[in-house]
Amino acid sequence: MADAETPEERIDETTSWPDLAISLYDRLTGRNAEIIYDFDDMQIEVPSGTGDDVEHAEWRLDGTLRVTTRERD
Amino acid sequence: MTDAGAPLAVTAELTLEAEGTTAEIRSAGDRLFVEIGSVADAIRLFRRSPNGIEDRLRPLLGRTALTVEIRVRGRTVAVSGADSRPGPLSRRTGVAPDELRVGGALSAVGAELSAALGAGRRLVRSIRPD
Repeated sequence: MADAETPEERIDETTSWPDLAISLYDRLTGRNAEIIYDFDDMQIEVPSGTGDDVEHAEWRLDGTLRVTTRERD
Repeated sequence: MTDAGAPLAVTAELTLEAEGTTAEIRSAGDRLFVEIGSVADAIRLFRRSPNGIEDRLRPLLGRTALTVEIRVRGRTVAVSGADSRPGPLSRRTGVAPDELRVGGALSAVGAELSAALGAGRRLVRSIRPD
């Protein structure tokens, strides 16, 4: 991930959940933004790893997640 | 791990169900609590998590100055992220920089045994003739 990339470019190139989260974080920083995720019994097939023959576990997520930036202590 | 940029605040009221196990995720600020009902459920949940998920989450938690506490029966058994303080046990078991809390784990096991004994006593009382 090159430092010269913009957060928008990084989101386009995201290949994993942590990468996506970091890209969203870049977008939040310095903008006083708030992101609210509202999960309504969302089902996710979570792979055990990468590759063709990985196992998948079913996760179900329900509830709310609110993310904002804050001042450093 | 970099701590550049502003840290995040998270408010969470989530329920996660996976492999027959339920975890409640709560947060108000810089600390997320993952509450799991039993030691066996906690082990099952983490065994079935994606390979290497902790290695991918650590940089994210560090960068966002967030801390995750894994709790079983109200006792903290593990801490990951900005406020984790790994001790000798964490280093010896290879989970550092995450923190294992052996006191919390033993206390959670004790609470489970106590609950099981209580349930056993209630069962005996219910089938014992008056």
